[in-house]
Amino acid sequence: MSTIQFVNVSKQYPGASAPAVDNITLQVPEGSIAVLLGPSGCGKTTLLKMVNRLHQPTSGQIFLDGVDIQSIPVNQLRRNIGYVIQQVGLFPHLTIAKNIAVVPELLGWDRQRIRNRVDELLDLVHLPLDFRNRYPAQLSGGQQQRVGLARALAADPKVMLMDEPFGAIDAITRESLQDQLLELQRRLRKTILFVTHDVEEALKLADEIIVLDKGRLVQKDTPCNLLANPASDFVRQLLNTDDRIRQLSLVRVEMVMKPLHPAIQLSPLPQVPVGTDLKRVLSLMLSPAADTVLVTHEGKPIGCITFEELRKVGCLSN
Amino acid sequence: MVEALIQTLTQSYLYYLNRQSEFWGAVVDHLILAGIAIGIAVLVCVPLGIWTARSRFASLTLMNLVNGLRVIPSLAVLFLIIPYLGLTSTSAIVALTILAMPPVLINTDAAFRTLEPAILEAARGMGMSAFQRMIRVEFPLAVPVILTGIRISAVDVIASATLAAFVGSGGLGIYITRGFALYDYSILFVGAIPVALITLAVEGLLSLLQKTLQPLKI
Ligand SMILES: Nc1ncnc2c1ncn2[C@@H]1O[C@H](COP(=O)(O)OP(=O)(O)OP(=O)(O)O)[C@@H](O)[C@H]1O
Ligand SMILES: [Mg+2]
Repeated sequence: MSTIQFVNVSKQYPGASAPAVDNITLQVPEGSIAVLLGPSGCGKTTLLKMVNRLHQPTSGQIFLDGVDIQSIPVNQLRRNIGYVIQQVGLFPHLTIAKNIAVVPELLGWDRQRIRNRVDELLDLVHLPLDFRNRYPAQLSGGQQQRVGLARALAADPKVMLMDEPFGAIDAITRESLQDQLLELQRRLRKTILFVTHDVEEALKLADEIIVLDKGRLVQKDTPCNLLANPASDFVRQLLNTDDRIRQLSLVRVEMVMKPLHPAIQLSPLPQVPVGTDLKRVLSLMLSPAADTVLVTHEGKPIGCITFEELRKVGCLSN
Repeated sequence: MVEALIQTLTQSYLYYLNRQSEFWGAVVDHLILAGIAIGIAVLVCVPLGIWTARSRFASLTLMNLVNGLRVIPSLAVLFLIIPYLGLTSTSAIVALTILAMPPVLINTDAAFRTLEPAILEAARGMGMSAFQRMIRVEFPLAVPVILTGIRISAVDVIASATLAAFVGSGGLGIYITRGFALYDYSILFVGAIPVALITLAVEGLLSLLQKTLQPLKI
């Protein structure tokens, strides 16, 4: 169970004039983060909740690793999918340890295994072990959301659904949670469907961004391609691509480059000389397998640039 | 004035000393009557409250019925029942149960209606069955509010169980009716003071239970 596949999925709420999700076909590859992005009411949550069958599609099919989710008993399906929501939804009458242990308990793990797993997870989301016996009300919002994440990861699901998990959290804590999620993802390689309406968050987290408008899929692409080649005015405006590209053209590579990592494989990477602007770098990154561009001075590599540096430039201008 | 009161209370105490076995029998009868009424009210109204919290139909019909019932005083209920059930303990228990039901029903309904939707969605999204959600999440979260309802009922019912003496079912009300009949306040106090003390004790115990079940303000 690890690729998520939507085939002609539509959802029409009773009494609504237009479908909330309109004939969507797409695939989230195994081990990647796909971010659903779009304005409020465009159907992001509806699409997400059809994966764990909190909503039922009006038509179409959803497959997890080729298996139609309708053929899996609903609670079994849900126990195998991590689910994180904006309001966190921790159980206030249970301790943090008990909250994290919910799905393992439903799956009938033995006590020792659950204990060990809880400790492991608290560690994973950078919470002190003595939080075990606290209650959710004794934690800050950011800490609660970490517990929410640990709870969703508890039974090591391959698929995670995250609906604006950091939406209600202050900007600084949000940044750190995003960094942590990326760090976790490098290790755990989950297939993650992530909802946000924060463009920066989408650009930062996504392997691919899925832009929705009024229930329709407008564009599905890597952050880099999306910025360079927005498919429509809607995408252009949503991501504010014109401003970002203009910003990039004003910044030169030596202003943002990172020092070279000794282990980096230099040979196949595109190179640009000092003095090049970042707009040119973005265009080089469009070609596949060029997630890093080398900066050279008199023919020798002296630094490198990844999409992260480009994103931060656009981020600062906003 | 104070002297007279002390004198009356002393007489009450002597009256009690002379009839200890009758008195303790009356206390036990009183507690049994109240306990049965509260027990039935809980067994009936907690499930009904869960139902009314979920069903518009149940809520409209049952809640209106109960609010209507609340308007009728217990004494009137008792006298309305007597023609059917006679001067029996059953009459007393029915009247007391009717008195006990509304607070339990109303609080149970409120408890389940105000559960936080995000918590319920998390429970569902994690793969709990409806039964598991009820046992592990919904009921534990509702219990403190239900207990408040039970406390309100208990206070009402323990006080009103004195009415049982009117239909010859004993309880501490016997001293109150006897005191009235003989124009003797010292006898009346033998019923009234223990009723007040029991009410306070039960209220205290239930508050304590509520606090232990709710380790944190949530
Ligand atoms: N349970 C429901 N019943 C009826 N209509 C609904 C329901 N849930 C959502 N809708 C409608 O479906 C549309 C899509 O809603 P959805 O919650 O999927 O949007 P969203 O993209 O997640 O928005 P937001 O960013 O505000 O969370 C909206 O027009 C909404 O009003
Ligand atoms: Mg939403």
